[in-house]
Amino acid sequence: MKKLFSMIARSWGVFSKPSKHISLGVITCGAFLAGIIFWGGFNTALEATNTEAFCISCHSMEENNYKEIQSTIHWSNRSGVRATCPDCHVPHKWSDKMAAKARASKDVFGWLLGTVDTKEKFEAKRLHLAQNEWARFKANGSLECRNCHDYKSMDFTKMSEKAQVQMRGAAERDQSCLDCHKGIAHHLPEMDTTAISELGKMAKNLEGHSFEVGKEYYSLVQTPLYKDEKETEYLGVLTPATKFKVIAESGNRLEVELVTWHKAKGYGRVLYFDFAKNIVQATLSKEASQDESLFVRGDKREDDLTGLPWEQVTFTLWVDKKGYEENLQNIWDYAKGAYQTTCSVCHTQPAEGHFDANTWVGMFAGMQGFVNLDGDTHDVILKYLQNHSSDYSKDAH
Amino acid sequence: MNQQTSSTGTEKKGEWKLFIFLTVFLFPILATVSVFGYGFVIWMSHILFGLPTH
Repeated sequence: MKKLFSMIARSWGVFSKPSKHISLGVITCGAFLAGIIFWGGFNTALEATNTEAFCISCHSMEENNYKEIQSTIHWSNRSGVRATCPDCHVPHKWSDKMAAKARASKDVFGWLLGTVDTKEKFEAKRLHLAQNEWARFKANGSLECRNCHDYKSMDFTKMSEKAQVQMRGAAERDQSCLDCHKGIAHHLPEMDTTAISELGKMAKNLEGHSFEVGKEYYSLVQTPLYKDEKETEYLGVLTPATKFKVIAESGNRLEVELVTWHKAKGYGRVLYFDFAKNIVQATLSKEASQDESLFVRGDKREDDLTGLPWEQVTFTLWVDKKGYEENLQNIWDYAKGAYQTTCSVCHTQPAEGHFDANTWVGMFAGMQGFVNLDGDTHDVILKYLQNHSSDYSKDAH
Repeated sequence: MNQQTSSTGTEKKGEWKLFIFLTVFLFPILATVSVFGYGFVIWMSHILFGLPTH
């Protein structure tokens, strides 16, 4: 230690005084040359870490992201231009690039610790990783895309009419490309896990609450229906946001009354919210839908549009004591949020009252292909839209 | 006289050694570290003040 200090002290002595033996010319030339070599080396290293070969030198990059892009248009296309990893994922501006490089030091730790070294671990992290990139693109207006794809250079007349409408609007708003074009170069993360947990979480939070006989509750998730308080095999499933009245409780089951409609033709396995409205409350097994001991028949009416006879039916069935919501508005609030966040990703979503309940089924089915929704969220958004459609809303158009 | 030459010799050797050490090791390392530091500061500023806009 002492030796080191004395060495530093001696060096400082040499460093701080004019040199006696090396001429100024040799020092400046030497330093200048060293500077050139350093600059060259630095840029070479920077370039080298900005190549695809470097990116995929990590197993997880090669196995996942690199394989995924190979089926997309950014890998091969009629023009023979392709995007490599850094084209999209490393900012081109120098200071932001340096920040990206510094940030990538985290990836080195991740590599050392094996954070995403298996397919399962990668899939588990995929949403998180994607969200990081989405946030970056959101903030900079998809700058890296627009280094190549510039609104100013787009010839809208060469687009299909459908695309024109969207792209002209996007150009006007100077919209960020990734607002719509997510998952175009790599697979989209499975987003249903987050969605499942939301309604599931609401149900979980309400678990253990006591139930009042005679009071009405709403299902939050797909809920199995049973014949009695003991039977384990279920007769059917309630969709989320379905109203039922508790008429008795026994053990860990509730006896509930379900006022619904079904088509009085065929088995009538699907139970609907309202006459001639395709708003599904529950689906039953063939046996249950025919078991007269389970339901009481009510009004019978014919739908002029389809000529089908509909019948009001009141079922008495059993459900497990789980978390049920007393206030329907809480479910609609969640559904509204989910509708706005998932659907506005691609476009301004139509107002709820823009279509009637039956039209929403087709509309929603058409859009559903673009997003990943789990069953519960899918059902609850559709029901939210139908219940706020022109059939039920005051401010419909 | 003889002693002076030898002390001049070590002095000269010391100067060269330090010169090489500075130009080949210390300053390039400092330069790299400072660029990384610059990047790090920008990264932190992104976390604190938000991501760069366009």
